[in-house]
Amino acid sequence: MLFSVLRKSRLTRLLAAWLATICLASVSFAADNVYQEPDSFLQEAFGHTPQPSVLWLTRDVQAEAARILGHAPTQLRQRYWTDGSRTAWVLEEIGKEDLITAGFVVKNGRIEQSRVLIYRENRGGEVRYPAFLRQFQGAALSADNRLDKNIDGISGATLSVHAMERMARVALYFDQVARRK
Amino acid sequence: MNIHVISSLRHWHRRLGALAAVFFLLLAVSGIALNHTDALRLGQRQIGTPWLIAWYGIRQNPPKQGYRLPGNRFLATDEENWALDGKLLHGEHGQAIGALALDEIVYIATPSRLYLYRDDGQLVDKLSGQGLPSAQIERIGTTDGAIVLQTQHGLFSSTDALRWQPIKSGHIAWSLPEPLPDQARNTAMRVLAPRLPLQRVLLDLHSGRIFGRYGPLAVDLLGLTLAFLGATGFYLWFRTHRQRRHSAREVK
Repeated sequence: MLFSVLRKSRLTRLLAAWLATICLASVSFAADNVYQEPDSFLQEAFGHTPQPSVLWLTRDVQAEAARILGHAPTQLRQRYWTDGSRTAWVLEEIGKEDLITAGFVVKNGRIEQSRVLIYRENRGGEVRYPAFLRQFQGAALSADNRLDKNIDGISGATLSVHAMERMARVALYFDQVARRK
Repeated sequence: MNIHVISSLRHWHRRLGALAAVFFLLLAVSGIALNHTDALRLGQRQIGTPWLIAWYGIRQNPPKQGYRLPGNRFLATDEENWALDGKLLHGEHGQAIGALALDEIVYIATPSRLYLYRDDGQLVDKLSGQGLPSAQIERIGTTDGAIVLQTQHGLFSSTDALRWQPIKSGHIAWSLPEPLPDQARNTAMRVLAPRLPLQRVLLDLHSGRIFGRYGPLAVDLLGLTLAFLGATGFYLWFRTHRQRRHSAREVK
């Protein structure tokens, strides 16, 4: 009797819906948001996955990358992919607390394509939207290794926006260095 | 208001103010520091003071086994962290399943990643997903100057951890865990000693959680004390100010 009343009660249903929402929300916050696998990004960029090439970060390259990033690069060997005319870079950078994985395709010193591949932060995931990422298209480095285009921020995602800008600058800088080799 | 009440207010205002001053100072300093977490790099600074670690109830699990590398060196691991010859390898790695050294590079495998380090502990590269021949690594070994990964899709070898070739089984020296010698264990114990981010300690201090389950209630009480001091301070000032104006008018 009591159970049947509870089953039919609107309050019980509302409570169940609320609990389910909370559970789903907590699960989505805990998980990495994989928007595109790096492999799939490379497939999309080149039509196939080319063999990786390597850029060794020498002292001067490390110093410039550190100036762009605001911290020393975490690794000494950067893998990239190229089909001759374009290079693709899969980079990681911390937004506020967690790493954001992003992919950039560079052609003739300008960004042709940018994607947020894996987003791990709790807030600021709006940087994955095409409307934001389109701003990077055609961006190149100015003389002091800054972007020659202004990137509009997103309220509540400032640190993620800054991380994306830093990664775009590093991708363009690494592309310059790789082409000088 | 009754003169006795005023006198009592003044008495308690002074006494509570003096008593709470140290705690207010603590809250003010920790609050200001937390407000500038990024600039002060509080998230990156680590504290390993033994009594503080013990206060948090954190106990170190002594590393018992590791992976032997050429030159009688060892990679020692606990549940999360790795120590290579007395140097902490920074990062959230997970459980190592094998380690070996080849051409001055130390290769460390976890079930889903392959890490490359220089002898000095500098990360060279971190491979996962598309960088590996298969998503799951089961073992790591060497054969003829190349590293070998045993995966769910078979054996793969590489000389640069970039290009992987499928191979058939042959003479492969697999990396296996072995007990750490005393000296290596003691060094690893020192390097892998638990640490806490300064940000967490300051947050717990500011909220009172560092003092246990009743700590936050004590901080609530301090907040109420501050409200009481503010209200009584303002009232006492206002009353004195009004009396002075009144006296000045009478003199005129």
